[in-house]
Amino acid sequence: MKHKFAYAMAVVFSLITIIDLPRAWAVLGEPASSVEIDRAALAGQLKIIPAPLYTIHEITTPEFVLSEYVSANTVVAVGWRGKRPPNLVSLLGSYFQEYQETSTEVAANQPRRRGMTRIEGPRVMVETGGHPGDIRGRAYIPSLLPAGVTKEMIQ
Amino acid sequence: MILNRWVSVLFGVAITMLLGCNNSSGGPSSSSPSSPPGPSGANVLAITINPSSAAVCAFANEPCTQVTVCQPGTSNCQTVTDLLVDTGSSGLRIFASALTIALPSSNSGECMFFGGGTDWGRVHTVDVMLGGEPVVSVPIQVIDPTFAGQYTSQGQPASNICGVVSVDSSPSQAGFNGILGVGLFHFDGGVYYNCASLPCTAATVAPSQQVQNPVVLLPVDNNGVIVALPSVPTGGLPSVTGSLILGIGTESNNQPSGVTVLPADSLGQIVTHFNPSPGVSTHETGIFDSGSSVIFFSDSSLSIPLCPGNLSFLYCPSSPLTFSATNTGMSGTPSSAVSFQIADPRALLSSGNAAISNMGGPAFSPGLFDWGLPFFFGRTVYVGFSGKTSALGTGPFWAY
Repeated sequence: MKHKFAYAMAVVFSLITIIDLPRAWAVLGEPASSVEIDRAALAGQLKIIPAPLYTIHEITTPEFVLSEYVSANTVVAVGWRGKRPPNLVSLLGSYFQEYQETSTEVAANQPRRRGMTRIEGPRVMVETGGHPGDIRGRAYIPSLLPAGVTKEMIQ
Repeated sequence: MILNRWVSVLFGVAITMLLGCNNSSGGPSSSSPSSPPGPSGANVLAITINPSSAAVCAFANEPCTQVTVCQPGTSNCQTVTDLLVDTGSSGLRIFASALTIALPSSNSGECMFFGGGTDWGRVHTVDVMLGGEPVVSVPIQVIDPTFAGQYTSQGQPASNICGVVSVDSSPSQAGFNGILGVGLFHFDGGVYYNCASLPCTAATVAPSQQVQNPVVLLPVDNNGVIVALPSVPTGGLPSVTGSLILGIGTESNNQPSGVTVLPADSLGQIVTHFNPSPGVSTHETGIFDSGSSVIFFSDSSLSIPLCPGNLSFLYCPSSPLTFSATNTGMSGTPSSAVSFQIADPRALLSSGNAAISNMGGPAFSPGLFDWGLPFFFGRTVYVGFSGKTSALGTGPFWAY
């Protein structure tokens, strides 16, 4: 009986994983183990680069390089560079809605112009820029950045 | 060739007369002190920065021009005004809502990613006439947020195929009817989808069906473009008029002289050594982008305050700052020193001046130095197309 229950749970869990995969790869603010979900979803190559204040989990795909900055077993920042940005709905997870709301508010109040953008939400900061062919950006949770880490380190 | 060119000029004039359009553009008259008489010819498109005369192209440092687009193979044509002149991208893009001509059917969708925004829409092949040049048949992007149900009419995510926070939604929101990308490369580098049935699926599209820099397709003036804008004093100007000249050294009006040629890499980038303070030099990636409203640059040693409130994407120094930088080709030579000023833009912007030469903001991308429109004022900038040869060499290169 117990065995059967475990089997059922495994099936349910697999289904959740399969159904969820396109939307929730792993994400800003989630445990380091979630990086592997990203790598698999993106079919990318993973390289782990240790640094004094964090560990960089760098995922390389044909379209971009995505760097996830892990501190205290949590993804505290992400940076990207490439032909296109990664899917930010997936990458920012629960922070995407905040990003969208703040972005809409900023767009309504800022003078129109073309160039780099910086969206400072209540919890998350998202900066985007670059140019066609070399699109760049970063997103981070200021409250989770370890002491000594500056946003310039995130790229 | 000469005969063909004259025929095309006459054809252009005839079309213009038929449509009652004014090809000389609605910019300020040539009596304005900021707009000396520019070059003329079939290969010249007027550039204007003049919000007072344009309903759409209305933000500071926004250089705009117009082109004629036609239903393929017909004389059913339309002049589309208020197109952003963009040396930072390749290809023509026009909002669906700004087009009145019938378009051939298409199931090809495209996400086009810019540093400061994203365009989603369908790709159609149309006839395009640049100035008085011969008509070229070229795929363009027809910007339409609602195509295939991807975004709302306000550009907010629905199915969100591009995976971004928003897309350009309308001429009034974007500040242009479209973008004329005359950058270094033939193809636009966008991401294509097949939307014959939903959901759209990622597609590999033949080069001939991708959005392309229309200038590359011209029979003669196809090796590059020149952006020539008058100088703008530190107090700004209410409007300026300049020229987008097609071809380099192909006509009497586009012969280069005394310029420094900076070879670029496969991304269109050069090396910029920036001097944030005396004796300090940083190594940055440089680009020249007429579509960027200001000069975007950063350095961790800089402590220029950002402007408060809605202008927090701009620098607001307490007094004007003068900086220098040296641009070099990707291989390290040649080099060219440039000095520029950054001032508090608030008074300049509120004065109603639309051309501002000393406005800057942080490049949120580490190591990127974006020479935006202020760089172009008072210069003649040559955009040497990749793989094309002129008196200045073989592209990709920037020269000024």
